[in-house]
Amino acid sequence: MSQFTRYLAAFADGLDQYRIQVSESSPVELAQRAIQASSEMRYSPIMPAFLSRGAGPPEIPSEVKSVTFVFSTAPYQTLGSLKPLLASDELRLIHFTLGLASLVFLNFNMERIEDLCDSISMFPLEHWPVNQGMVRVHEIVKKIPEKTCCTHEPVIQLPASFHPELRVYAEQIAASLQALWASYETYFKEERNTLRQIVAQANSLIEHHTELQQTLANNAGILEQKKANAIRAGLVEISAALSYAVTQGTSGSLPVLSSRSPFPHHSLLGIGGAVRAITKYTRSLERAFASRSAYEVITQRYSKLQLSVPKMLSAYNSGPEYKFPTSTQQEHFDLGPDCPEQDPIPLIAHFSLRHGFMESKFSVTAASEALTAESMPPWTLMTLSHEIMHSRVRSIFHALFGKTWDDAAHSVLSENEYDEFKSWIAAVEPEQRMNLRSSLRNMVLVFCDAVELLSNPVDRADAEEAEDEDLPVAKLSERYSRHKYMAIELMVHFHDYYFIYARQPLPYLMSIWASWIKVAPPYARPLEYLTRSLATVASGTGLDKKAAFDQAKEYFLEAVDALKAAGTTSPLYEELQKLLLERENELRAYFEACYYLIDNVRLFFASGTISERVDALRFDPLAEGSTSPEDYGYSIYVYGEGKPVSPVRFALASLFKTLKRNHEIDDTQWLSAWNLMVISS
Amino acid sequence: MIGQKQMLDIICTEGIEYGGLQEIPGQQHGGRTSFHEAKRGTRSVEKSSIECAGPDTPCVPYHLRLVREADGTLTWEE
Repeated sequence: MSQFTRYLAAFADGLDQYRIQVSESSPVELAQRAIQASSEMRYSPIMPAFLSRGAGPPEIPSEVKSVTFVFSTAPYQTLGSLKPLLASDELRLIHFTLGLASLVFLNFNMERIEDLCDSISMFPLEHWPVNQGMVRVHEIVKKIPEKTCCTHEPVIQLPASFHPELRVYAEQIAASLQALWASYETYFKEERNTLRQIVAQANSLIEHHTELQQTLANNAGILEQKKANAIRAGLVEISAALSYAVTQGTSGSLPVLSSRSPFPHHSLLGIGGAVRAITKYTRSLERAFASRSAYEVITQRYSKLQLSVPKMLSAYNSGPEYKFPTSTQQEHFDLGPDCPEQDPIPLIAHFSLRHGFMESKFSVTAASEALTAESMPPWTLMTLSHEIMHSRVRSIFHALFGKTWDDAAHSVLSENEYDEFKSWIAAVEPEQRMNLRSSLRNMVLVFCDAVELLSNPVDRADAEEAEDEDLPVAKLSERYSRHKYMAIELMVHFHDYYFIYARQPLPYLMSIWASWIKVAPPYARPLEYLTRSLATVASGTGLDKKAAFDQAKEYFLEAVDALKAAGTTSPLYEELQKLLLERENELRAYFEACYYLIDNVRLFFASGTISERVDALRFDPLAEGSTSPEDYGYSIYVYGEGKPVSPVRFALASLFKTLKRNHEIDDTQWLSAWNLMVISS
Repeated sequence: MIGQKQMLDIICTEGIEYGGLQEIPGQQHGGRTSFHEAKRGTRSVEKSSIECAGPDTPCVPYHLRLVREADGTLTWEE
């Protein structure tokens, strides 16, 4: 395996005395050397940007005479504009990084840097002259471009509270917002909008908490106390996410030696560029979905739309209307008036080693492993899309089951929801006409009831003799609470499969089963995970339940074979194949319940207009005029041309390359950094 | 993807369902079990405020069952 990844290390030999080294040796060796010399060492990986097709990694210069950091906010495009300006022996000296200092030039003197001003003068810059390996710290040049915009941007009003408990959160949130506001001015201007939305939400939460405190002082009930607790939990979430955004997103800013990154293996330059990549990835999806709010569509339109939907899970058999349209036929979700999301709150994106890929109300995290292994299927940014889809489904569930602030409801399911479920059940027709919002809610309840029953089938003889017992509403509520996670996961799977994986069953199955072998739950509950994946690729086929299962099973077996052929193996695959042989009856029963729900989610939540926005291929230079995700391709020898690339399609294309073992080089860390650098641009 | 007003209502709903329990677990030992759903299990059903079925609890005339046939196949019946 060729090693393209390099490390730029700065050893502190004394106060203001920095010895630098560019090395291809393991960073552990560098750290060991620092321990032996009793010196503090900071380092970051740097990647040679201009590789030659078929050639190995470019040579490291024998002597480093200078290091120039360029804080480009669009390094991919900067590389594209630099390339024609550079001599062939200069190309090997340009590196990209995961830090805010996204480009590093070795051995370019200041005169030559000035020559390149057309490409880089709009970004901050720091230049270190080096003599015999020592940085001449007193000659370091720092440049920040003058602000060209003189428009007055409205400032944010920081949250404040005099409540002794809330004060802690308010102060922490305010301090983080201040740090981010200053940093975004230079490094991520458009993210100031996120801060505005977060401030508005934090202020609103504090205001509502204050009102609740007054009510509680007047002997209010347990409901008010629960709401106050939930508000505090929300403020803690905001506070924690902002803290991460500060430590990860702002370290590594100019001057480089002034702040140490909290990531020890990126301690010199930080990971600000990688944070920008996952933020841009998240924003691209949020923008696409905000164009048509699921909450608004459900509450404004589906709540009035009288449609016949199948109420009987046992009789559900799909049909042609469920099949993905091949023409330009509009989906239910796209019909009716515009329903943009009102004041959407962007998710704060950061990396986490402990949480891995995860979504919460105010944040989304990518596994820290992605920093070095994004180009491997288990750590691909495609998994981040699954988490972002949780936010969408959170909104859908809220529209179906959510309470409003002024509700006096104490229970998980309201009386009205029970009544609507009752009348849905009581209707004689198998396809009950009811407003679609209620029908969808009832389908989720039926699904949750079915999942509960899966573990306890009755023998035919007993079933004939047993009397049907009515279902207590408390039990229905309990079953909903217990199994709604499964309904949520199925809805997320559909959104992921349809919008992100462009309805491609084989790549989808390969991707999720390459990642699921790395985590514990599929080993603990293989039947559930297998069924989830089968039901997902069955949705939108229009096939009856038997044929849909058979086809999904074939896809699964084909995907596992392809994974094995590409070198991804796991004993879990054998276990799953065994399940398909030995427990097919259980699998089919589970599948039928899942198919009932996910196929109807497909019918009412697929959206051609959002899908087109997710693809964002019309202006993407890598799409080369095609608007089909299947045609999307890229090369590490091609550089940016101005327009940004579609983050989701780029990440998917990279995943395909990995699954087909089709990457141009075999350095996982370099490829991962390349992907993050392109998306950050 | 979630609007300001909607978020407040979501927090309120979570207050009713979970009493204000935080969504992100405090995994003290940092062991990751899943990046898809397991960590969401902090709010397991035991921790939520589920109403208990008592003798006076109203019922819904809904009868779904999963029947095992003599040949081992499973059939949903309503």
